Amino acid sequence: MPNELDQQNRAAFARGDADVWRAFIERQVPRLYGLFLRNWPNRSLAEELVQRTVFDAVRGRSSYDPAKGGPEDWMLAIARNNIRLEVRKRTGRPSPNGDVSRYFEAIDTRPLPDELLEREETADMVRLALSRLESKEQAVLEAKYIQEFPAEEIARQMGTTGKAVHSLLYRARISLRRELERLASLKEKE
Amino acid sequence: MKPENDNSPRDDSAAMLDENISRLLKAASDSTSPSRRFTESLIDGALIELEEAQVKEKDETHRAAGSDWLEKTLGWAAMVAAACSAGVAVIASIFLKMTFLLQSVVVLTMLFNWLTYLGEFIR
Repeated sequence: MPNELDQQNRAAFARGDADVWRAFIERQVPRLYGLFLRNWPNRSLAEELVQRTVFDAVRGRSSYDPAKGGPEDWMLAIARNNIRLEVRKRTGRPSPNGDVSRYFEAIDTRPLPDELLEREETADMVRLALSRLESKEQAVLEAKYIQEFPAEEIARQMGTTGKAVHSLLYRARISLRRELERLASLKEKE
Repeated sequence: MKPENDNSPRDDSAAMLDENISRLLKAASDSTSPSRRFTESLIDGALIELEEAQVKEKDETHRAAGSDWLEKTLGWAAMVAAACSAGVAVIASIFLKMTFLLQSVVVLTMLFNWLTYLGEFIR
């Protein structure tokens, strides 16, 4: 298989060779991300689970036995275990009820439930709210939260200063929140 | 005046808003792969953790080797002490059974031997 590390690389992996690990994690991240996304359509959760899986692998490196197989299968087993843990965590959790507006009202005081983020209607509402913002606000939110650029990089791309980007981000967050609350209350009235 | 490093509820609410907006925008995104920046920062963090784990493992190996040496030394010392105690016990029991004259001869012989040894050592 083209993605399997050869025997020599497996031994280097077990020893903790930094270059082998770097290449390995780089190959595994999209694979794991896709796996988690297939279970829950929640990108922030997928990122969290990818991160947890990679760190579990690093911490449990001594349990990897090259004679038993490739590190890909070993890491996949860790990922499946994290899926099982997440399923178990959700079992006892109450699912969010239909009233979305109360979650948006408390957007700055408690984390939004994962189940709410996984609803198609939430994604539609966010897209609609985003489309109602000024183009500059849309651009800055996308650069900051989707592409995850630092403020300096955004400032360079937009031809402005870091301070101006922070100020624009602040306004964009407030505008988005206001739009989300408005859309949610409209939906509630329906 | 606002104190330095003020960890006020306002900071907490700004951080929570930031976190929730990030999660909402990701939920609305069509991307099927994580951002390059996420992957890079994950790799950097994992490699730092890997290096720290290796340093820790090395330290533990050194510590284990050190304690191994100490264990061996203490073992030998205990063995020597046990052998000496047994020797002293045997000599003492024989000594106590001797007549006074013989005891005096033994003590004087030992004293003479030690003085000779000391004299040789000083010369």
